[in-house]
Amino acid sequence: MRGKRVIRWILIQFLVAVILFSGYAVYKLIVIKPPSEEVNEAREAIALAKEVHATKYASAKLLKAEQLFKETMAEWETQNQKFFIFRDFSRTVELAATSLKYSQQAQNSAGTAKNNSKAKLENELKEIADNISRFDRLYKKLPLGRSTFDKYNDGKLKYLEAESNYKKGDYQKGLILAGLAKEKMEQTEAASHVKLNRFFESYPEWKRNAERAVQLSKKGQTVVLINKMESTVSVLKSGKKVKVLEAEFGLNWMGDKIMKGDKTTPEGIYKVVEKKRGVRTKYHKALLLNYPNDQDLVKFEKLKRSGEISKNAQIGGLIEIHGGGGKGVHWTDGCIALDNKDMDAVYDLCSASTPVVIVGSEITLEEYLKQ
Amino acid sequence: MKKYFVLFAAVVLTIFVTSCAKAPQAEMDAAQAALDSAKVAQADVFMESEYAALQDSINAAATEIQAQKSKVFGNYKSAQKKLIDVTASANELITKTEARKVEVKNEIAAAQAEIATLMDENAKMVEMAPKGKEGKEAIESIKSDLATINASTPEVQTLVESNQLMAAQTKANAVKQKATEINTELKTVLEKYMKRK
Repeated sequence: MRGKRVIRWILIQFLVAVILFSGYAVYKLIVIKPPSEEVNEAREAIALAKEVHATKYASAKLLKAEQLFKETMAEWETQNQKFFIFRDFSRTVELAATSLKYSQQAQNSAGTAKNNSKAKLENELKEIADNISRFDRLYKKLPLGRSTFDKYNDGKLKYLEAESNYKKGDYQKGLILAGLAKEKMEQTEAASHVKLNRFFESYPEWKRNAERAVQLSKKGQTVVLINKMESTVSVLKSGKKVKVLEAEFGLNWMGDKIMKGDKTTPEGIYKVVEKKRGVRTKYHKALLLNYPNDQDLVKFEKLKRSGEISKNAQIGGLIEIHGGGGKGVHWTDGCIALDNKDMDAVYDLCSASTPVVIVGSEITLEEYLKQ
Repeated sequence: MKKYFVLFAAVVLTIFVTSCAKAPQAEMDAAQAALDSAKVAQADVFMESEYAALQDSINAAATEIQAQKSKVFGNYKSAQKKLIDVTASANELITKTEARKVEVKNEIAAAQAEIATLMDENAKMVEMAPKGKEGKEAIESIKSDLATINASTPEVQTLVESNQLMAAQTKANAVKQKATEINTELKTVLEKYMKRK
């Protein structure tokens, strides 16, 4: 009898436990919802971030968000593997919320970074375009040497690639290429400026010589004034330029002629020593100058003694104003070439002993750069 | 009575077995493998938005699977269908990507052919260009331009061969533009030269 009571008591206790457990289980099922909403929100945020190119413009934040999303899914899986009454999704929700936060940050950062990159690239491209245009205007016609032009061309090619990336909307790659282009263009311009600056160191002498040319012409002489930077041959009479003609010089015309073979046109005050025509010249007509003059000889010997030029170097000669020009480029070995028609005019205006003044420029470097 | 009990037990067992459906792991693996193959095919480069959409779809399916796992009686049919669709779309994307790559390759090849034609023309014009007294072309800056292009042209091919098609296309277009500019410049020089000759 007592045994039956005990069994009955145990059964009642068991039944109560089962009822309580069932109640708890039902409560869990009703109250504890799976974190679908939070996880989906985090997932959608990642997709939105990718839509605004966060992969490119906010990659660190997007990667963090994606990593957190993976952790969210792993945590959710861990909880799902447990018997349902033991599941706890609070960590899953927390991870999803953190992932969402990073995705939203990535969205915002990507938008801002993309706009900033675009604006920055636009500025860089404009700056480089200005550099290119300035180089084309001021330096491209100068004999700056192959290495300078190679660097310029390399920079320009990088600029074109950067521009192409801008058009494609790939601002980051564009910025990298623009950076390279800018560096090359700045180096080219700086090197060119150094060369031009060195050339213009002779400006005071050019100025004096040009003034001397004007004075001589005012005294009644016909004077030929040659301006290298302007590529012109002018005929001066009574202090005025009565003819200004396009001229071509030595391939390496920037600088004073030092020795034979340097392909430079000399600078200084010379005079016509011989007029040639017919079989005596292969360039239509020619006016032979008295290069080297005394100053050239002194300078040449000084440079030889100092070792700046080889002991075996020769000073050269046969510098003429001749025809055969009009090629549109500098091509002689140091002579001054004119179009045959222009040569006819100069030839007729000059006589043996006509002064010929050759200067680098009649304006200062600052004035040239402002042009 | 016994018969009814057996029948009842069978029904309960059937419900239990069917309600414990398994997550579509095979479909998930297949979808992931297809997406990985699409990435190998560079769909993320050539079909960026489509690739990202598929990535999101696979994530959505994974979320759906976990949501069903959280339920007592999970139903994976919707997730399964999504994954099958993702696999099919990823395979389609591979085909589209390959087609786009062929298009880009053709565009690059066309640009390379144009560059070659321009450079041939440029070389002929350089031969006719004004020469110095020693017979060398007196156009130093243009010769440098041509050298830059000659050096860059093989770079385009190297990029194509290393499958960096987008970079190759950008470079090819830039080189073509430069070759065209020089062509124009040379024509101007020659026109001026011939007129005065």
